[in-house]
Amino acid sequence: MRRRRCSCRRRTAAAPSAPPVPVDPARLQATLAGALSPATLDTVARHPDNLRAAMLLGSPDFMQR
Amino acid sequence: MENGALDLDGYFGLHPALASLQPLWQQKKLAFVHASGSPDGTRSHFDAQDYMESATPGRKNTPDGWMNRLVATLPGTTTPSRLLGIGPVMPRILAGQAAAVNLPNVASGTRADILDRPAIGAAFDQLYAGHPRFGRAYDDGRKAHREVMMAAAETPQMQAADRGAPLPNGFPDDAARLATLMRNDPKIQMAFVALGGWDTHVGQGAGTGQLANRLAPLGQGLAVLAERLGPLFDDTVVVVMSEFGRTARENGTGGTDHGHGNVMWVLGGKVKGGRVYGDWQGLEDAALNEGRDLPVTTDFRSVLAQVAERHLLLTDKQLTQVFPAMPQKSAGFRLLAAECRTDLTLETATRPIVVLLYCAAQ
Repeated sequence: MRRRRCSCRRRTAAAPSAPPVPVDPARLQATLAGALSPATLDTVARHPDNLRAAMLLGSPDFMQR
Repeated sequence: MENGALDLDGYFGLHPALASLQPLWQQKKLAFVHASGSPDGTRSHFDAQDYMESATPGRKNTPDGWMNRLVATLPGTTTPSRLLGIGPVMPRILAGQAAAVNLPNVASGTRADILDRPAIGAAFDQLYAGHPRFGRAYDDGRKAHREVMMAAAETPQMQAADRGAPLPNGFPDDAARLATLMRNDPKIQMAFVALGGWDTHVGQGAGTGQLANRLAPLGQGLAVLAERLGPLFDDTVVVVMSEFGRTARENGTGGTDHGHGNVMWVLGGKVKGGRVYGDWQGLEDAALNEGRDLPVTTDFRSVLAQVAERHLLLTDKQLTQVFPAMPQKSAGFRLLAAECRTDLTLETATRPIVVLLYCAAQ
């Protein structure tokens, strides 16, 4: 009984306080305006919403020093 | 004597932590080149390692590594996996014009990653397609990853040959993975692994201790590599080298300091093994370099050049491209057996070379 209480406490402590919020690609794109090339913007626009934030952040524009 | 040296030839001995290499020595597939190393006198680890990887001792501005130059001179199609590294970063020895691929030390390098999800892979393929600066590197990386993933798959026959024995973490594990990759993908011709942590200034130990703890997995890994390469080991040359030797005497903290001459290890089916090569001048004070360490009597490049010449049939002109500033002097001994096959040419002698560099830091 004591052991079960302990494991419950541990689970509660490890639980995140709030679920992660997905990055809004439109806001991200607006924030990065000027740093993204037309080719990147064009390619990203042709893909579904759930891929866009990852594509923006993983684009060739972010591989430059 | 417990924890004493294992006799090799009545004069030289093998560290007891390297007992796993004794069978290869007895089969005459393992040789050593004593008092070998870089002719440059630096005692800086960074410079010394740089020179071992560029093969241009004393020249800091060499832009590429000798393994990359070697691949670039070879005929045949260059694919990224032809030149493979295992380690945390792309090493200098693989840098240059020819495409190369580097895998992390752990198994994750041979597993599917997020770009292997079709929708994500297709999206990023489009992002990088034709990009003037990164397009080719992206294509090479994707292609290499696919090749490595395919090559990493073990067939039931291979699993049976491995007897399912678990390996200790570290180099033996990497060596087993490398053997699998090489057996499955004949395009992998050059492989490089760097092993750090050999700067034993303090508490080096002797038959047991710090150095022994590093030697044991190195020896086990080489034995695993030889075993798991199977018949391919007969056509493979493995060279083990380091950027430094150590001082002949123990220092005040139970360790040894940076030395000069070292020992190269050469393994493979065509190696004239069971012998210690090189000009050995002894450990008397008068014989030591600056009174403290082994003099270099064999330039490491003359060993590498001999492997390139006899194993891959490189011409003199190609050898000059790979080892541009090498003195004309040859090693003075033959490490590899005479070639029996008369059908081999530069085009067909696409045999593998594996290089291990054990050094102070990766």
